Amino acid sequence: MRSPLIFSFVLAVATALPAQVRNQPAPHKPAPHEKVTRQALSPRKGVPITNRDQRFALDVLQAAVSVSVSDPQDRLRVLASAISVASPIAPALAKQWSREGARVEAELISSGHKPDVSVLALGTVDCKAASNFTDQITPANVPIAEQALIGVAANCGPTAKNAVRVKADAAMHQGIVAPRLMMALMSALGPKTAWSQQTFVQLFSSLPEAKDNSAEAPNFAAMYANMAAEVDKETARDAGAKLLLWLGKVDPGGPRNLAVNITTDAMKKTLGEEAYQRALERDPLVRQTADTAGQPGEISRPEEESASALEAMRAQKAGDQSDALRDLPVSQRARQAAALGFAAGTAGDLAGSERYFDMAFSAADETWANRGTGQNAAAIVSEVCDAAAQVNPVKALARAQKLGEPAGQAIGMVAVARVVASKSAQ
Amino acid sequence: MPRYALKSYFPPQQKRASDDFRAAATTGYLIMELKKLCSLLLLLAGVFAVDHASAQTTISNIEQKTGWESCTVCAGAGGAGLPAIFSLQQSISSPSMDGSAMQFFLGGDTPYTQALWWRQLGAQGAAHNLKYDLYFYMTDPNSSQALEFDANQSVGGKKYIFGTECNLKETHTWRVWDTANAKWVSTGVYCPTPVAYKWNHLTWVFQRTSDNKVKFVSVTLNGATTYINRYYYPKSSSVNELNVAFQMDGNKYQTDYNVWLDKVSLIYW
Repeated sequence: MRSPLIFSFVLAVATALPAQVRNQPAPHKPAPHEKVTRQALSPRKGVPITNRDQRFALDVLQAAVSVSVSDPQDRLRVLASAISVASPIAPALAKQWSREGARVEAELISSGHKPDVSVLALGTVDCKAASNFTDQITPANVPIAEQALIGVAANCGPTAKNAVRVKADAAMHQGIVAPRLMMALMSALGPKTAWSQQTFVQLFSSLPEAKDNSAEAPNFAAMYANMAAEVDKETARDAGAKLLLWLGKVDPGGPRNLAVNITTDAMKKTLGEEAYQRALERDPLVRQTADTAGQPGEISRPEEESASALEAMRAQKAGDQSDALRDLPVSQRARQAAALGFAAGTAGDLAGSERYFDMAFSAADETWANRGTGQNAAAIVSEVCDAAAQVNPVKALARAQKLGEPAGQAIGMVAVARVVASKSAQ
Repeated sequence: MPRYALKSYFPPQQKRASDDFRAAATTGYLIMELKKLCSLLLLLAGVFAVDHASAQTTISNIEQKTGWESCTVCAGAGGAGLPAIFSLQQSISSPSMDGSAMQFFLGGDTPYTQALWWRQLGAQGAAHNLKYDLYFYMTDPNSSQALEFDANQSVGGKKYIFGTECNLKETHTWRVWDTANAKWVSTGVYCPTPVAYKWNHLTWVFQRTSDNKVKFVSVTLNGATTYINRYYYPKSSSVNELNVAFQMDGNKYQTDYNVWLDKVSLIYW
């Protein structure tokens, strides 16, 4: 970490950066604290730049953010990653990048694209920028802005909450419902408020097209379960019946089963067994759906690929694993090779580590070049660069800068910065 | 064990091919899968050649098991904090991932008070490698000062605290517990405000090293892995145990909040 190479890099990057980055406040290192002393630190101030590692990290971050990235999704990813590293060490810079991130996120949403990441959800965007963001959301785009709007409602004051509520109302009047946002607003504004009570009734009277919303079924059911005890029993009965009727049209599967189980449980608890049975008798279709309760249910979630550092530690002791890695699918090869490189490097086998990182970076590059919808190439690049930086941050940085795509380079550089910044964290 | 989702490697366009092409593609697919299986077996052979005696054990759905224990005073600094109001409820259908989650509540009037819950898993003295994997759900992440996810192992006269904390109000980083010096140490790794009204997937990987240190290997939150690579010394202990724990810390207003856990598992060998 203290090698002349690093200082050469720092010098090179630092001279090319704006003065504001170099002119950090005078070092002030807070005393190590335990939980009992946490009041002594003022939240969100973070730790001032205290040492060369943090300065290096910040310089690399600046360089990463200045990489020209044309795809707005990629730009948003770079900014979100950089914000997450900068927040603890340079909150002002994180705020600045957050404002740009909010603007990029709003533009993506305006063009009908769901952001892959949300800087609004990170809670680092100031409330003025968050309000500007909210203003730009059209009712039709509320579902793709759902996570960001939940973040605004959670992190900002009554005016911002109200602005989000207005957007959610406008969407619902067009038959567009974002159930998690509605839950968040009802909780934030109070379940007993007139708005929450009226919205509950309206929402279950105008549920969206069932076939297109199978994955959201558990969220609608969760909202019903959250609010059923807060409304009068007749309202709870009618809303529950409407939800069951809607669930009857949802594609069969784990999410629907889970939603039916949640809804029937909540109806029984709220109405009592006898009133619940009477509610089912009012409509044979409602009864038919309710009768499917009890089947195993589970929410749908994307399959996650992972590599085990612990197993890599064991495997690399048994000899070279390169042949075994070669036939793995490219994304898995990237992660597994990175884990092996980390294991070999931290065990002192630097030559072996380099060999694995050659494979890991090559596979990460290939993953990025061939990435498709739903493939988290950014997470793979980040993981590979993170592992390499644990062994040798200078080499990792050089490798990151040689990745084929500018966005991949920037994300890799942020990962290296994160590792270097974390070395001096206390 | 890495999860190899074999079916997902079959490109979608091949799935939509004509019958003839599908037959050929299926043969190619099987060959491809066999090659991957061989690769996996080779990797595993490497693993078992090194350590054939260490079978991997998975304890799943710990949130559904009886026998959870808890305390509030012990959760505070030095094990002598002020009491909080807290509770635990199992078999929660909503929110849940699979119909049976565990709900934790923290509140009261005393700022910065905490509650700790843990589940003993027996004295697993041979375990050196731990993977603590779970999903958590929050409706109001801003109410939390910090969330702790720990594994604790006592063996051979030593206590190894694999203590981790997502510090949400001060450093906004993952902190790890330095067992010997009894203090939190920031890893510098950003811990974002958890996504509200959505399940967050967390995996911590720990190791009790061959030279008897506590090693924090990596953390994965919602698919993003960060290597931690930090070591600390253990402290003395006279018991033998392995447990997993979860702690909620109150903020300066001690705002009431809930956290739900689901699919809690510990893999060890």
